[in-house]
Amino acid sequence: MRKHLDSGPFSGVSKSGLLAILVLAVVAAPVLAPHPPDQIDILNRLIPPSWSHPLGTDQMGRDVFSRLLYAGRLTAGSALLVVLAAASFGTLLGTVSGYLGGWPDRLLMRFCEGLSVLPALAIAMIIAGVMGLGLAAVIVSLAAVHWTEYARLVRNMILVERAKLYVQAAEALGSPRSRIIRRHLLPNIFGPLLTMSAYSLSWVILAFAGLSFLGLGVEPGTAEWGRMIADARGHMRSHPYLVMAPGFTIMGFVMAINLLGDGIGDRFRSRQTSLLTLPKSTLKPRR
Amino acid sequence: MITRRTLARLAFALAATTTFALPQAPALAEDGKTLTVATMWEALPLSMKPRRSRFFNESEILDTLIKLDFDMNLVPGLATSWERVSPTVWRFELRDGVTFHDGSAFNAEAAKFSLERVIALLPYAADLLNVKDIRAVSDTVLEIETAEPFSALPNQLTDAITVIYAASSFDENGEFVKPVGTGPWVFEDYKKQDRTTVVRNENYWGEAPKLDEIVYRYIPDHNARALALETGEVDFVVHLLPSDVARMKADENFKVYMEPSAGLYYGAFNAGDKSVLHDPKVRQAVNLMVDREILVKGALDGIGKPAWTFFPDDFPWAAKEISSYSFDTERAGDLLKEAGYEKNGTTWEKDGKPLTLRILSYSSRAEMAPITETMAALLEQQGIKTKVELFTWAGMLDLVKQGDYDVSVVFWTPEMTGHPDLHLKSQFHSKAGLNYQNWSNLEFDALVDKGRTLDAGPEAMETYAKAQEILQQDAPIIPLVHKIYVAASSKDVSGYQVHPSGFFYNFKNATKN
Repeated sequence: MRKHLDSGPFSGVSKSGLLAILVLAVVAAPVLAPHPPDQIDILNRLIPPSWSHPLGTDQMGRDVFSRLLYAGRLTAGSALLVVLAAASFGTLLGTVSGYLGGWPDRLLMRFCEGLSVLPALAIAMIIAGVMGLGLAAVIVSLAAVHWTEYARLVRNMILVERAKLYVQAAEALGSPRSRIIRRHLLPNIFGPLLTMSAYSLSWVILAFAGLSFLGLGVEPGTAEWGRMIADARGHMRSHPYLVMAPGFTIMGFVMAINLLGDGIGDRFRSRQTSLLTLPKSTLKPRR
Repeated sequence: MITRRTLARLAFALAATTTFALPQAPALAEDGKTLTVATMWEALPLSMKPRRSRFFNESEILDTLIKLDFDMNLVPGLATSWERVSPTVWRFELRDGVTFHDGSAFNAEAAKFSLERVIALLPYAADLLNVKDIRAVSDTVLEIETAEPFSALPNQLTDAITVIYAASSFDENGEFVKPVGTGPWVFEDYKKQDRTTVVRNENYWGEAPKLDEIVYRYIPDHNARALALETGEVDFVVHLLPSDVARMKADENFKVYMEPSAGLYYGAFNAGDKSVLHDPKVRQAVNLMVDREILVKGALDGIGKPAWTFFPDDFPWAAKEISSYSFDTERAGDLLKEAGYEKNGTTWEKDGKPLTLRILSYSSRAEMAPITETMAALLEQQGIKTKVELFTWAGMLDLVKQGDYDVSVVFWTPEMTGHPDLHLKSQFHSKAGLNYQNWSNLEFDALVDKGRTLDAGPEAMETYAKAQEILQQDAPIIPLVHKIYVAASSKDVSGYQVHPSGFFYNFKNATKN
């Protein structure tokens, strides 16, 4: 399977190529979108695809294609924020935990395990429910359930790296802890961290769209992939493309990011033999 | 002359028949005599509080004293006639020889017991009925004394809340346990979150139903409900999505029922000082800025009547001459300017702050989201910022009670009893328990207080017309859509008719081939 994916249309170049196209489309939304995403035109509602509306219009007469592009900014942007927040917080705690060891390590890891047992989406829903509706609530709640993945990964890798000769040498030379972490440990775990971020980005996009679909996060009517599916449910039978368009977009994005993650993973794996000691499963976020 | 021996024989014969008849009932049910109905709400037959015990009336497990026919005229229910014998006393002649499902006799004493129980258990009932005293004069004569002259009483007695329960509906502490009534259908079984089953009442005082059994299936998802009908899992579906109507209408395997029925979707404004809608000019402006025609088209695929006034034109009590709203952005702009707002670019502002409305609604009713969203979008087009939030009904009500909102989009059935008192008094009177809008208009209060004491006639008409005009001018609400009731069945079902009150399934005449 892996061999197969590495050649042909799934080679490294086209992997990043697919993502690049999607990212470009989202970033350049104002230029590419033929209409403002929230411009309603009830008289031209639910019309099939045409030149002026490449994917037709939705139940309020808004241009589906334009909405998809703008929604990408919101969804992908928020997901990126979640990943950044979760990765920084997780890395910080994971490093501290792995380096210090002892009771802080045990405490933190038990906590992470405890959190991991519970279904992440359900916890996110509870947090968002307590914080009230809103984008911020969803971003915070997703980050709050997601950082443990990073903490665990980073802690494990720090443990592996710490036992290595170069770190011991640095310690023997009297380097301060902070310097060892910054100069020796973090750069060496960066690869897997990046791989993990890619996988987790796709998870977060799915989770974010899922929460919006359930009515948390964005207001009804907002151009957001999950919300677009929820809003179009009433017309699902008569106009299936309204649901399919955002659905396939999410799928395409998630797939592209996963492929990218695979690519990064392969790269670092072939370069850094030390990482082979890590079972691959630890690199994948839980679904 | 009937001797004692004949009686004994009769009793034996009767007992024998029942014993033999019992095992046959399920066999009949499989012969297409069971109607399966998919509903949007759960029936919840083991509690009388939800939705004001509407299901009992809707499914006709229980009867009201007075009923409404298909033209919204009052017709005898458990009471055969009624008259006002003094300004504050109504006398009801009750139907003789009616028994409850448990075999106990229905009489004035039973009716008195039931109404008093209802008033004790449901606070809203006291407000609705305005009762001072209930007297059982004889077995068949019931007198209700009202706190003030109260002409709306017969109409209010058609409200689902006033259904007559047998004593065995309650436990020894007077708490409700299950519905035992006199209606054409007998409550049989309830499975939580799944179904409620009722069977035919063989001893019904009116014409007995033709079907043997009705199963009310709870299918809250609107797509799933329509699918259940299409796959033959159910025979009848209530509350069809507008987008499904066209498809089902075109398919000859199905019948679609669409009739106007009581019901108004409206935005209730928060008139308290926490909201920008405290200013009546802003409330009027909002009313002028939403094109209801577009709203009905966009949100409901055109299934609904654009509402510019509180009551629809064909409601007998609707004011004949009323200053109806229209889509008039110019006048709206003038009103906002008078209220101190200025248009900055495309947005209305006051003291540099954009005019923003926090709009709440609830998502259990499928139409609420699109209606709310469309209204908000139309207001945005006119330069008013909106923030739409959808909750559960209870969640929304929490915020509304705290006064932490500007508009709550709701659905009520103001014409349900055929008398304007019901809704005007219970929702908009400044002392009403359901008035969470902080709206108070003393002139309006006086009019609705007076209206309910007047007999139907020109004076009552004029009083209510004035009240409606105030509702229109002072605008505590924005009327949006008058409801059109939508249901569908398989082609095998016949005899169903939409009831204009929107409150009866009325499956008595329904048959299934």
